[in-house]
Amino acid sequence: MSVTVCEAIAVVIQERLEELISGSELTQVVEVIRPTVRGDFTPQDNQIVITVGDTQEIPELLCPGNPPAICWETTYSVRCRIMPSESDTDEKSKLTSQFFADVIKAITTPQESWYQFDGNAINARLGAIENNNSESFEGVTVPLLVQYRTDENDPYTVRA
Amino acid sequence: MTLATTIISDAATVFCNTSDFAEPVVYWKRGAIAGRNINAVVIRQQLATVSEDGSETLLPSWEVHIANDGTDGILSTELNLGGDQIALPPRDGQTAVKKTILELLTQDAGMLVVLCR
Repeated sequence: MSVTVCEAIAVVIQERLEELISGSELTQVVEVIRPTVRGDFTPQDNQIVITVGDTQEIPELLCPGNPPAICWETTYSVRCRIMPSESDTDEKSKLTSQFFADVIKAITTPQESWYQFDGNAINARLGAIENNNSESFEGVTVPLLVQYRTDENDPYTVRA
Repeated sequence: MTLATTIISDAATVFCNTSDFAEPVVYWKRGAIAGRNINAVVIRQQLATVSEDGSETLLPSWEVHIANDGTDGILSTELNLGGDQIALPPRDGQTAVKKTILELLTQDAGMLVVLCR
């Protein structure tokens, strides 16, 4: 089944982050989730939730042609949830900084071409790390802004 | 027997009695390899946006009433809001799945009310 370029990038992000589940990094990630419409998951310690935010057109990066290539920028939010045991004495900042550091390392691997997301994107950058403090969600959010081109009339077809 | 002790006793034997209001659920302490069978009154709430988790994320929630008891319910001193879970049917009649206890809504000597998502 065909997938949109936007979805293909989300899949690559998920695959890279799933390397943290059995990896040797300090944060032992338990699962990487992309929520369904009805949110069928339960919050857990060291859980990553990926959501896809707004997509906007970048007019200055379009390419002429027939059809022309439209450039889009989509924000992918990587939400890193911590839920340490009540007996855990580690400082919160230590846990969150380790978590987003490990997430950044995973996303930016391979170093030389990470921003292409397996040939689906032309550029990517990390946004400002957001601290989240509430009863429902403790942790940090790593925004990832990815630019990619598609046919004007077919967002399933990637363009260079 | 005082009124207070009667109320505490009724929490487990009446309010959390499966012949009255309650249903069987399983309490899982963080990291435990086996759960504990307990009875609880489960109030299944509407699907709601979890605003703290971003407007994109919807999560259903369950309000669970249990006896403040180490055998028939959950003792307030053993409850760990850092990962304890309750396995309950998301909808009546469905297979039970584990849901994390996120908040302790109210507590007294007889009962605990927790929020699971």
